[in-house]
Amino acid sequence: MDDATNYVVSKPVGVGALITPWNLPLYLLSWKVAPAIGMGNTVVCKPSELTPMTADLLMRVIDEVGLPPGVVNLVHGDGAGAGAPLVAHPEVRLVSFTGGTSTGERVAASAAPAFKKLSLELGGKNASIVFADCDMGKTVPGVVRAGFLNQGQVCLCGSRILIEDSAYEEFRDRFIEEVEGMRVGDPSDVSTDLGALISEQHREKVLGYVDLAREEGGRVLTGGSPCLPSGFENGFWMAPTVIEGLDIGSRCATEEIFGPVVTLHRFSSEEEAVAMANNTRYGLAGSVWTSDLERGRRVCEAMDTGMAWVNAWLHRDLRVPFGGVKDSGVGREGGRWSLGFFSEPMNVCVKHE
Amino acid sequence: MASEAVLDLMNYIGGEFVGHSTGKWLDVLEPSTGLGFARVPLSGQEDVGAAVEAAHSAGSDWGSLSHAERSAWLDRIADALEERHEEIAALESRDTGKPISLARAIDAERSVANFRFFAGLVGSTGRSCSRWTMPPITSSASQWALAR
Repeated sequence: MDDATNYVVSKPVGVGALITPWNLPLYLLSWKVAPAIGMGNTVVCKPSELTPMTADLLMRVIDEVGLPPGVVNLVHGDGAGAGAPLVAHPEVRLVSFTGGTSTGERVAASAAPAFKKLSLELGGKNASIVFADCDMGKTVPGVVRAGFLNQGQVCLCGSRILIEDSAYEEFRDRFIEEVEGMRVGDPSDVSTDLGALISEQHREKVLGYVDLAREEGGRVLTGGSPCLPSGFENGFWMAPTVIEGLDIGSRCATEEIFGPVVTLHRFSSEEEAVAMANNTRYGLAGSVWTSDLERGRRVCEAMDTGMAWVNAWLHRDLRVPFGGVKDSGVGREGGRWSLGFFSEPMNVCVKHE
Repeated sequence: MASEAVLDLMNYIGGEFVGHSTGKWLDVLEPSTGLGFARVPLSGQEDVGAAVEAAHSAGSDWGSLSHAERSAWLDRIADALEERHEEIAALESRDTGKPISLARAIDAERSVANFRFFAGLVGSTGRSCSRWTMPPITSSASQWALAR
């Protein structure tokens, strides 16, 4: 077709609903607000009612700099009272939701029949795959970080640790030592490694999974109970917990716990490791620890996830796509994927005379 | 700590901090102590409607700015957030129970980075992002697609 010129106009979608969770509040809100308004949309934010403080701070900053009124709005509240009517509002044309998979189902059920643009970043049950040829000195702290960062309350956390048979005992023992060396306590102390869980209710849910693990035949190697740092006895604390001996298909090894609980499992071949990693409804992320980078690449690509790392975890470049497959979500954000999600490309074709 | 005044948060709608319609509140607890230190509005449909209406009204003017102009706004927000780095980290740590080191590295640091990164990316995107003249169509698959 050489008798016409095509071009693409990138248009705003309209009013966007941005719904964010309690684990990384300002990080995830800024991750959505920036590309959304950058591409010309106006937004209504609904942060988690459990952690509204930095969203309030962002509104004060936006007010101070004098952003035109109405470009960014914020409504506080819970999912049923504020989130649901926001997603359902007919003037809302786009919904970006980060949170739990069951809430994500309700968001999708409300938004899809109205053909709203939808991005869902939901739960995960991510594998950290440890091969015997890994650099143990780097792998042990790396896998501990993947398991327990933010008390295990990150959707990307590697909560199922798959270890090659011949290295199982060595890795397990060094891993336990590293976990027990973490300092749990005063969040305002710079030497603290782990803080408190988000709420009493959430801690009860996490502890319930430890009880379930025992019923399912698991052995708790460390942790497994609340811990009460001195001076913080009424907070929502839990000791970092490592469990072995569970079947890879058990509930504790396949359901998202979203707390400081990891399970250890053995594998004897690369194929078995991949099959174990993929044996969950989730498909968000994974990591592979090996000195054979070709194998690392191969195993990563065989995982049914949106993201995977070799010899790293949560090593993030803002230009790359972020999101999951299966029950971990729909769509991608990050870099040009965010710009694509937060805009509508319009093709104009001008016929030459 | 117990005598500290409890802060009541407000919604932000149409450039104003405003009260909510339901009269219902939720205590915001500090996970490390279990103590309340703020109250968050439990807004309802009416508040949501007002916020969506404000966003809708602002859409036309905001959408007609150039990418470069909106990019400059993102940079201004990044600058203002950066000045409050330590305040953000302390508030986030208190509100979520996470260690201050993590709140600094992720919530404070990366939220500024998000605004800066997207300021750069949006600023490099033109309103008409690409123009091209298509090559002559030769494959039958494309012809079929065109014929539909």
